[in-house]
Amino acid sequence: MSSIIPSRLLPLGRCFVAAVALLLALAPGSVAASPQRQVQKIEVDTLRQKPWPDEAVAAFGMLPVQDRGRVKPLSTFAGFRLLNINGKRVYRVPEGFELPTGKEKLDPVRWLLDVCLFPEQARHYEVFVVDDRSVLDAIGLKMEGRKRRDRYSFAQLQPHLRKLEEEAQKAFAKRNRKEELDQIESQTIALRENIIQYDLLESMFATLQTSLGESPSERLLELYPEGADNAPMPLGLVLSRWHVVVEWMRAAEPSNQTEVLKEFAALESRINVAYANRQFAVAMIPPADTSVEDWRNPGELIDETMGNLKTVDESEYALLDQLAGIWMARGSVDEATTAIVGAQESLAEAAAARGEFTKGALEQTYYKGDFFYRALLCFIFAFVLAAVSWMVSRTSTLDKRLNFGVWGLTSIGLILAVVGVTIRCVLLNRPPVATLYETILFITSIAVLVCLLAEKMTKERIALASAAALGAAGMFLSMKYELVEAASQGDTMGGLVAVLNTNFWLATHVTTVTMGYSAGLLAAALAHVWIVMRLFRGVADRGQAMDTENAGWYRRFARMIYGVLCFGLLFSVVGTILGGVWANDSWGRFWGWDPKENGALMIVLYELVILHARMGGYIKDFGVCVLAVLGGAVVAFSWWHVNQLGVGLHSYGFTAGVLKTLWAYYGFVGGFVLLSGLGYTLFLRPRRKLEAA
Amino acid sequence: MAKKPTTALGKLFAALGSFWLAIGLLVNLFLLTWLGTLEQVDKGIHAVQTEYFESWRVLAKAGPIKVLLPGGYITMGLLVVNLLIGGLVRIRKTKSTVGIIIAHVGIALMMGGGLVEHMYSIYGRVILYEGEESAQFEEYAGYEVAIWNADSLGGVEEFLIPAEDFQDLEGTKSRTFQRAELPFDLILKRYMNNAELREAVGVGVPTSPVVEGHFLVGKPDEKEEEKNLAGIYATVVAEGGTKVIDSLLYGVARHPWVFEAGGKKWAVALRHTVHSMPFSLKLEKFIKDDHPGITMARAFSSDVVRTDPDGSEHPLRIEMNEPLRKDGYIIYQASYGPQEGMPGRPYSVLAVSKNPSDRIPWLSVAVIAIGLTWTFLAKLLGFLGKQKRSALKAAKASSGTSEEKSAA
Repeated sequence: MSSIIPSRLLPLGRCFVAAVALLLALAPGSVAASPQRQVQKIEVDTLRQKPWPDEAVAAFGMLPVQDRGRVKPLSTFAGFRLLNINGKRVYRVPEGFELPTGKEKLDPVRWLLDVCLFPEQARHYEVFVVDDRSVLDAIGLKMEGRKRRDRYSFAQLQPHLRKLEEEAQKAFAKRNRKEELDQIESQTIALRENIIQYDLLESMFATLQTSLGESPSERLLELYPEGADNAPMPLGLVLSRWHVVVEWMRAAEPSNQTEVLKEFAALESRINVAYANRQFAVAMIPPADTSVEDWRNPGELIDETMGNLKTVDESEYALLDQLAGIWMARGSVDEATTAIVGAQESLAEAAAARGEFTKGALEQTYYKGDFFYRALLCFIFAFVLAAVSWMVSRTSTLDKRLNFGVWGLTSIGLILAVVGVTIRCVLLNRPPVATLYETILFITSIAVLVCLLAEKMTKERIALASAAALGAAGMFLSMKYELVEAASQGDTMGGLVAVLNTNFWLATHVTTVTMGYSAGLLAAALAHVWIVMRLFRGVADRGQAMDTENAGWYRRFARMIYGVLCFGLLFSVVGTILGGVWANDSWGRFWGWDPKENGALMIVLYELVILHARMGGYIKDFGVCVLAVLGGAVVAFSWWHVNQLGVGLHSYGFTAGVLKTLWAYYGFVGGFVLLSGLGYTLFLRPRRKLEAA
Repeated sequence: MAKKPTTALGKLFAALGSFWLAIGLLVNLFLLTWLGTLEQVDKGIHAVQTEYFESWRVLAKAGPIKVLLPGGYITMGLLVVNLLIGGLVRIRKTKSTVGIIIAHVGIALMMGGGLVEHMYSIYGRVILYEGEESAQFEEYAGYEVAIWNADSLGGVEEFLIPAEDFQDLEGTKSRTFQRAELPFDLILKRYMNNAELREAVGVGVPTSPVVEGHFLVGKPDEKEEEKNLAGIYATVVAEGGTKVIDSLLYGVARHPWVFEAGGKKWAVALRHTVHSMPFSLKLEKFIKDDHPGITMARAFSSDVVRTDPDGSEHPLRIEMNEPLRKDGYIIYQASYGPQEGMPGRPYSVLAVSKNPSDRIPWLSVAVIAIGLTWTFLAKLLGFLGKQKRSALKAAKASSGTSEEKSAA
């Protein structure tokens, strides 16, 4: 088949479409250029003198922690904290700081190392992203030369934290009155939350050390000789001998107990922060008792030992001491590295003894691989090549090379996406579609795969270009949504609610129904292309009938869209009914008119309408394509909008902040359909009359 | 499609099985589903379900305007007729329509199952505290008035008045209920589907009769049907027409109304409709299994002992996605209490359903999947065949042109 896209368009239209496509594809890159900000030299007591060695970064990143219901490497934890605070997983230290290490690019682990072990320095890193400067105006922070959306350091925000707290409390009060918060209020709360998170990060290791104070009692000194001369002592050591102190307390006369308490005041005051943080701090100590699933944070160990007077296994104190050793070695990169490596080995061993943290390395590979970002790059470049190929002669060697490049890059993008999704399945021991974030990745991968299969069958290059465009759009959306999940969940691999705790139904219902979504969106995307091209063709023909070859080409293209709709109907129907069967097993009813169920039914009904209208001869190719475009809005409603309604049993899927985007999309679809109708009336319908005449 | 009909009956038959009717009904069902889903935000799922899908017509809210649409009964009823006539009887029986016919059979099966469920299924729940046992469950929303002899010990015979017999008694409408076994007549009036019990102190003139210092006030229905608390006024007239006493019955009253008639004590209560199961369930332990380190449950389950009529005991576990199926009853793990941080004994809420068509969806999904897969593959193969033929044609044409050129 020699037919190729550009011959269906006027040369002018071809160039226009290609130019728009190129602009769209290259738009993100052009935004990056912005004037370099003025920064001042950092002047603090302790500066990091050299870059973190790879050994330290690797070991620190592989410290096991239990967070959001699962055991994960510290690198993952750090990544989501930085993403949440900074909006991206990287921070570039500017040259203007005049640090001994100069200009430096910090990944999440290196950033967290600085936050924990060189806090004075890290407080000057401008990582707190603020979307609207009005948030800072409200708390009295005024800085010249800043953009509306900009980043600020903890040091810059610190003098205004009291005011920030006041503003946040006002917003909380408003929320409690069930009034809707505006953007500024929401961002104020988010900034306050990020400050709290940052504070917790700073104290992760800093609270693991204490001392006896200036003038300890003799028996205290005897109990803790390591603390002579007010020398720092690791928390685990203090806790491990605390049972002796308890005996002293018990032996003391009631009237004398206050005096005894005073004796330990200095010792306790230094660990009060860790104790106070026990509700929020990350759990880093795997319990020696393997029947206990919950790991403990330092505050909980303090509570167990000093508050509940329970016996804690010595090995847990020893692990705590190893972590304390990291803090005690701060100030020296080399000594800290040694302490980090030692602690990592001990903690990983303790976790392995419990049969946990077996996939830590794979998880690091997953995040280091950055598969979805790389896939995005591949899809963007593939789309650029596709757009360029529309401007060159179809018979040239360059065109063949470009086509090969589009195929290659799109295939690589798909492979990267599939590898990323597969690693997630392995890490989580479950099918790939349990959260909205995962559905984006899965739906995009399926849509690209179906496009490539369609391209293989048709060789028209439409499906190929669509694969690249859909892949890029899907990966971009996934990265945006990852930010939302980072803010709301702190992880994209968090625990699932009880009803989703079934691999059978996740693998059957959710997978099939999301494949139905994929097909609906793919049909909509292809239909947009068909309509635009057909209208351009209509303009070119100026009322003349198309030649047989062109007419056949458009018919085949429309048939492909119709085929995708059939594919979508198959998966939507089966997926929707399977959902009912699952609901029957979980909630005791097959169909409850729940919004999510209704959304799935709407897709089925809508696709049935198109298919019946086509079979009944009420619509032809143009009608199928217009309805397919509208079908994209139906899928968007079902996939996202119903989750915004706040009604029904699918409460695990609720998410905030996407309504605006949805309405923008509905507006686009509505406008497109109206313009299509207008175009049809102006450029296609008159010709039909001529033909009839 | 079959031949064009000539008789009026034939034309009606053809119209009922036509594509245009199918499209119209599908569009209407789509609109009902879409507009109904949006209206659920204000009215709740149950109210919308009744208004849109369990109705003959509906005044649907479409943004600022209201649109009159055929309701779920008409739409789905006609859709079944259309499916049977157009999709099974009148459809051309050829190789290419085999898949479509199979899919239609699956859909008809599913809709048949849905009808059976709608007509014959019962849904309810049983709330069990640890150590408690029950062989009954109560409906989520439906009410009944129960009367029994309060002096009886052990098994008590109950006289039941179903909701259908009193839920139309709004305002001053009343109805008298008599049974030969009862030494009194019971007059019910002023039924309120959702009521609030108020004290008649400092409220001005009460809107309903005051009984022992209290009266009932009707409220709009709640979004969730099960949150409605029904109320009704009752008067007992003893044998011989002597008025005994007025009372009000409230859906969440802790104790029944007790009075004397015919020398015996009688109890009357307005309660959620109760059904019996052919076995009893005793809750041994409720287990909430949290994800480590957080309070989100990854599973919750109830360890129960089922006692069959023959006295045999069967310890078993009911958990999310793993219900107990026995004698046509299905028991699911639905909820639990008390919620996080609240004091009180642990209890488990088990949903109970009796649905004769419980397994029909499995069968129908298999049939539909076969039908649609068949159709899709047939279309795909047809498409590929056409592609291949077009390519061959094009190749022939181009070789013909080059031969002509070389000859020239």
